[in-house]
Amino acid sequence: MSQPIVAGCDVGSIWAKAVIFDGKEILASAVIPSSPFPAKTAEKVLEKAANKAGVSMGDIEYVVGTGYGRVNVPNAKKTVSEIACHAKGAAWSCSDVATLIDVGGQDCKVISLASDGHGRVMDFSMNDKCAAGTGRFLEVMAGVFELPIEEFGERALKAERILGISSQCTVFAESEVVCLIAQGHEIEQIIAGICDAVAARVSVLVPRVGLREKVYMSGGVAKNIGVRQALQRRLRVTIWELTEDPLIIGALGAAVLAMDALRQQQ
Amino acid sequence: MSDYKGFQFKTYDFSKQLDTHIDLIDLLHNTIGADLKKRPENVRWLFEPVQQYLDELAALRENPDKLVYRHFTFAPEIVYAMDCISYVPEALTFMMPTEYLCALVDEGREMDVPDHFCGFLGGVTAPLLTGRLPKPKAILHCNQPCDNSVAWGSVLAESFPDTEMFILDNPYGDDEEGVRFAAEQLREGFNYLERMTGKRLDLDRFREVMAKSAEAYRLMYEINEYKKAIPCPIPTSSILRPISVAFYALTGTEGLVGWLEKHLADTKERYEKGTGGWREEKMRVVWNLSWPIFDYGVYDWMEETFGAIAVAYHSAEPFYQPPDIDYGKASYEELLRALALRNNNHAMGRQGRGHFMTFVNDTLKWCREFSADGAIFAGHWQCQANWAAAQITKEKLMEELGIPMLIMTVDQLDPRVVSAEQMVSRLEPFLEMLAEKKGIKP
Ligand code: SF4
Repeated sequence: MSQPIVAGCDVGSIWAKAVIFDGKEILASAVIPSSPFPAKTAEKVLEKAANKAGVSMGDIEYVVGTGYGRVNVPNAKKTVSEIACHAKGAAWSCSDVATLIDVGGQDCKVISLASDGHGRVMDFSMNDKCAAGTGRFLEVMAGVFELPIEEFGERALKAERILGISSQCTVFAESEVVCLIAQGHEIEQIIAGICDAVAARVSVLVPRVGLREKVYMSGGVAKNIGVRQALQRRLRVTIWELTEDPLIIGALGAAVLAMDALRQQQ
Repeated sequence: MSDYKGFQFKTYDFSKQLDTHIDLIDLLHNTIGADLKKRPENVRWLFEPVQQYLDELAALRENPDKLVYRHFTFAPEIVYAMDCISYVPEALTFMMPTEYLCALVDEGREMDVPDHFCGFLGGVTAPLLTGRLPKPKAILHCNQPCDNSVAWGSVLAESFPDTEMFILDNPYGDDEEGVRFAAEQLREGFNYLERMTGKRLDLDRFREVMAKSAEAYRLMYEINEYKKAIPCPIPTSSILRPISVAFYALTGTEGLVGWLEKHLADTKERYEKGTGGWREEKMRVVWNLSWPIFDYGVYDWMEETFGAIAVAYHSAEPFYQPPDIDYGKASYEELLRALALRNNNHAMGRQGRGHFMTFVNDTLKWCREFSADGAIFAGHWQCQANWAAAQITKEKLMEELGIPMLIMTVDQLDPRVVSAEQMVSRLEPFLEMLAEKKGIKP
């Protein structure tokens, strides 16, 4: 009997992600930019992932939706919060995750996982309504330098010192950064300061759930080496890399939950 | 209505031009009356305290000499003992239609009411400063539970410059010295009310009021015993508004005793039949601090999606233990002591006046007694005082009871700050976590 196929779809504020999964392996994944129409975006990203996996949408037996646009994922039989999905996805990738720091487009979360390796959430904390400490903050700052966001982290590593960014708010930080540029400060040092500002916002969430090792990161910002290193410095721990692309961890967790639900249903 | 996973939350039209100069009591009478009519007849009695309070306020038109402004954490018994009517201007906001409240908050902001002033107080600041609320004979104010409400005293002073105000300095400690300290001030409070209203305190009336207050608390404790049963016969979330009005505004009245008797009989009957609230109970939480006054649908969503019942609300449960005295013959001193105890243990005020461990311990107590699976700290963003206790409460709950607590920022009145959907986006992962822990399928 062939393996059933399921999918997880994570419609975030910046990216939409989909994972096609057969319970053992990730058959394919896809990432596309989010649009103002979450249902359309979800449909597109699922189709893209299905095409890559060489399956049709009709072959997918169960879809779980997550992310901000989760309620709009067409065909989703279930929706689950990003917290539960990130925990599941991270534990599927590396079973020793004790603390997961997920920094997404518009929020950041710190999740404490049970030690049984099943991705059970023990506790979590998340930022409130503020873009500081999120991917959006980095995006706005990258816009100031007219730099691709992918280059941001590497540039931060080249800095000899970190310039302090005191404004917590994205809007104020943007004007502070413009001032620093006008004052002639080295771009790398300013970028290092920006990465450190994100790390500062995220690290305050960690004591709220208690830091337990091993610590991993998920979400788009996990790819930013500048933020990752700043967080390591602030938290004084090693932040390990997941075996899967950190951007698709939420969608992966949704797919894992989809398979669980399908098995229960059968 | 807006849709969240097929669940409907309220939507608002803030573009409407509202006449914020209308009589607020009329407005509340009309809107609450209409709201009550929509409810099934067999549950209307549950909302009697709200109606009672509004009727009392309406009666002020005939008896303007009885009008005493009272801060919401000042025990109402003192006003009833003086045969006056207590008017809590800030409480109007919590019964108002959301669009009106927001329009009034905005009007206040235009008059330079600072941003940190919460909507609870800020929503009536403009009507007060522009002379749209009735002039009181006396004003009872106090220094709890937060900096905002202390500052609110200056709004009252500015609104009624020729009305002397009485400010109760609530004691820090919970010991006998704290009770004596409060009792001495309440004695002065009575002298003040006599001077301002021209009435004399009638000792028999004071006895009667304190006896009714004690009876209300006795009934409430009894109801609470039944509420601890699983399933909870009547979740606090389904009676938050009436129970808050009852304990913040009506203690010491016959009406409240009558309502609590009905409430007890109903709870008992539901308990005996093993009937829970409106929906099946799968897990239970204790709700702390602010609640979504603008949309109680948040509780419906919790119940419907997760079977999560808010069994107890930290600030609407009884704290005052009435002294065991013969109220019919009690001396003035004994009654003053009882009133001091009552005032020191007023919900919110009790947690706002002393060490923040009172807040922590009260949460632990309710979670323990109600066998909660989790707690929710819904901190109003402008209530700075209680935020100090958030993290320590969370840690203590985990340490002592092994239960988690969600900390989330809300604005209890203004959905423009935190909407019902945003609240739900915080509640959802928390309830998922509790469900997984309990092995429940939502
Ligand atoms: S406790 Fe909070 S809501 Fe109540 S008056 Fe103070 S600031 Fe306002």
